[in-house]
Amino acid sequence: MTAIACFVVTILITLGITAWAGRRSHAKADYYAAGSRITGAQNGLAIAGDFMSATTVLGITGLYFGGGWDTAIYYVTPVAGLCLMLLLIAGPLRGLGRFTLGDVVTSRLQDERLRIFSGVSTIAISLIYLVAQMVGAGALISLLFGLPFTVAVLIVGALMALYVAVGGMLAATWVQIVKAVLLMAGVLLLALMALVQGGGMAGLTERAAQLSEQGVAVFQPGGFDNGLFSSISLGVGMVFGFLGLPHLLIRFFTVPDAAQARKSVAVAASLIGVVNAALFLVVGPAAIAFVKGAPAFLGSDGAPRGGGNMVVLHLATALGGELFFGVMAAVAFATILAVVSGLTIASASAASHDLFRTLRRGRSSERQELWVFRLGALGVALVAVALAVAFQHENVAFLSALAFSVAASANFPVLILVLYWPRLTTAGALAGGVTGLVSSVALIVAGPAVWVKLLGHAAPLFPADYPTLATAPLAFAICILVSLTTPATARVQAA
Amino acid sequence: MRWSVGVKLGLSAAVVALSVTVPLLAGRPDLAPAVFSSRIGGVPVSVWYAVGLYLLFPLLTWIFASHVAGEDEE
Repeated sequence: MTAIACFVVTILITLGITAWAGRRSHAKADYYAAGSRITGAQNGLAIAGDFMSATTVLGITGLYFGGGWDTAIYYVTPVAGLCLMLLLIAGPLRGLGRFTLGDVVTSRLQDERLRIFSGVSTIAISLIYLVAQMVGAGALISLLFGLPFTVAVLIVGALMALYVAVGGMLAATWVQIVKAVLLMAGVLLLALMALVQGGGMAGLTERAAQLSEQGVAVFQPGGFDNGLFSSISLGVGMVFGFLGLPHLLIRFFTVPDAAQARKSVAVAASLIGVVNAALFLVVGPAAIAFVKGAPAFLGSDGAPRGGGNMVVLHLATALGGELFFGVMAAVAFATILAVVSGLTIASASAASHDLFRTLRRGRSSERQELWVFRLGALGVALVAVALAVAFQHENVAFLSALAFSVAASANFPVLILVLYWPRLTTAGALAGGVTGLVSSVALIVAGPAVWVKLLGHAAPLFPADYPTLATAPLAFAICILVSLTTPATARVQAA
Repeated sequence: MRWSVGVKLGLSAAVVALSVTVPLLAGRPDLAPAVFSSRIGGVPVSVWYAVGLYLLFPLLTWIFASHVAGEDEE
């Protein structure tokens, strides 16, 4: 009952924020970018809230349960990515765009085909990331309410479509801010309780080493046993993919200027760094120490009840009983709602502002565009629900990493070259971007996770789950080669 | 002093190189230094190394932000 009450309160708060935002959102600038009235500190909180998703709370802790130290890849890459974002992207991006990545790309390369590419890649990347969140949400609600997985994801899909269609970016921003505060408080409280009950860091470490199948090796590199190519591909994919995630990049349009955009990044990096440190240093080992060897939390096969994604909730129960379980479940749910809102806005705005407006060749009104935005939110929700059902047994951290891989291969090369290489041409950007998008999706499908585990083939066509190390350089090479062989009339205007 | 594009790209390469040490070690655990198994406060050095990176990058971000902010005023 406590958990259900916490869930209901969470939903009511987010609906209240949505209603408040809906009364203040009228023009497309409000729905797409909250009227660019968000401050740097608020946006930093929102970026942290937008990024720290079901992956952070549920998925990575679930991976730590089995893989230990190697989960550091998932923790270090976002903060490294934010550092790069500040150096390379935040300021210039804010100066070039209004609402979408398509705005940024076409500000330098004035060709609407690039806007269509940006729109398609934004939707593809956001959908993959959305599936990860929906899987986490479905598992959470199923565990909590005993509902079938499909019903659970339908509920989440309905809520996210409602938030976006009614409240737009202003609602999403404030839901993300509230959630970031709740998440930080929840994680730090979880860590504190683990330290107190686990006998401090030394006690937790010792207990985890005793219970883990790997022994003390759980704190040393090598737990995933992924091989060098896969590991580095995952790491590189997450660092560069961070710079190509549409739902994070569009956050820079919500602040008034480049200075506030940079402040956003620094604030977000600090918050994410602290949360990641707490999760890796304390919560991960505590999950092993308190959940492994506790039959109440394990199934007959020794795996955590509800799957690896539910480990952190079992830890909350072990440390603080039903009340703390309810609080952390509500925090996890708020986390998911906040992230799916941001992802849905990125997709819906790409559909309306980049695709619909372009295909109508400027003959659409703002009212029509906003209706397409709302319908786009609904369409994205339906597709995400269907895909979540198909991928319901996958770890959410793994699914999120796939989104990073596509972002690193499709968006990142084009964005960086648009910003820093005056010789990039429309043809080069298109060729490279499409190559990155198609090759990364194709190799993901051909890899072990989809070709073998989902489609049931005996062996994968591509040996690694994460293809970034192959597809990102390929995309860059194509961008550059085609640009160098393209007529001068198609080249980018000087900065 | 305004940082040139070359300086920014160089700093970026350094950030990437430092972050890639983590997946590199995950993929080649045999490269982990022996000190990783030692403990400080009961916690292996390997853990402190990773945590140190999670806190170092945000610090670098603030340092870079303060420098780049100065460019806006030039």
